[in-house]
Amino acid sequence: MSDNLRVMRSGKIGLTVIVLAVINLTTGGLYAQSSVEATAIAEVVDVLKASEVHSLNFGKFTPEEQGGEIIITPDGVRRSNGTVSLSGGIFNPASFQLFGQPDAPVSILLPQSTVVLTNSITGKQMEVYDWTIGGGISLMGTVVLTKGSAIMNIGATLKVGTISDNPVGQYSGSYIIIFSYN
Amino acid sequence: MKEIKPAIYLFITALFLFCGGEVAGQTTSEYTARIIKKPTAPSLVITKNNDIEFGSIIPSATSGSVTINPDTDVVTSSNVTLLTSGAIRKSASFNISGGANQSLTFVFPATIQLSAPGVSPKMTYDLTKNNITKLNQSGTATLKIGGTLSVGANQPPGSYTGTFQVTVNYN
Repeated sequence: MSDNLRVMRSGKIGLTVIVLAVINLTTGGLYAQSSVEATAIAEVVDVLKASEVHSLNFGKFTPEEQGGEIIITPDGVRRSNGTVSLSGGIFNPASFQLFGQPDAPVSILLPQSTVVLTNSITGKQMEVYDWTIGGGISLMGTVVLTKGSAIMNIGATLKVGTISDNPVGQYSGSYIIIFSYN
Repeated sequence: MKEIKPAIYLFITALFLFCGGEVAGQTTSEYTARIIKKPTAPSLVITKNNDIEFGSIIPSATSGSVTINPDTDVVTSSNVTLLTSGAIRKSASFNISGGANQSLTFVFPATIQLSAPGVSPKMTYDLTKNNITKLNQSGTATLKIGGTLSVGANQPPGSYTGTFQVTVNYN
């Protein structure tokens, strides 16, 4: 009986060693490998588009003997100086509609040199300068495309010569305005 | 996150010697346990500093790409316009800690897809890592993952995201 007990006791000792070893495995574990997750992020934005809603139009006028200037502000106010006499009819600042990424800032680059208007019949010319954007921004400004769009009104000053310099007729020319995302 | 926990090398051998002969009515059994513990390095841990961001991109009528060099963070592009306003373009960055001078191996996908809600098609992102092969003497290193994002012709606008897992191992 006692022999049997001794065998059983010895067996318990062996079992205890194994159990301790298992505990050591689980509590003293080190990490030879580690992982983490990351995210790749990119924002594709709408292509910026601009279209001319209204051409810049100084309207009808008479230079009289000395000529002068006609100024159209971005908010559509027209005035003159010198001997230029303003007449009725349609006049307006240039107007552009912008479409693009909502809330994106867009920079505007106005003509930085004089633009020439030419009478296609006589070849006589007038000059346009002092381009201005609404809100007091001049030459280069920035607007935000609230809800993805914006209207830009642009004014300028027309230099008018004498009646012999600028006889009756229609004068026209083109210019470039650059809109770009910041 | 899936971890292989016991990086400890513990071998147990149990030698059971049964001396089954009976001497004067006694039965003896001897048990020997031998434990061999292999030297181990400190736990290897990787944590993320930041995700990879390609910033705001204007596609064109021609397919293009944006590439962030993971070693230099230099950004290059073709056939797309990169907006500068509020643009943050940087590689994903991860801190790694473990045993000093331990060599490392990395596992991450070569390519994943970036998608935007309700938008098709997706964009393909090819991942590349910086030139890192081991931990320094302090047992630390920085892993950076950059790569190339392919932007389709007239890629639809949207906020594109995609996830990937990075695993680091002792070599």
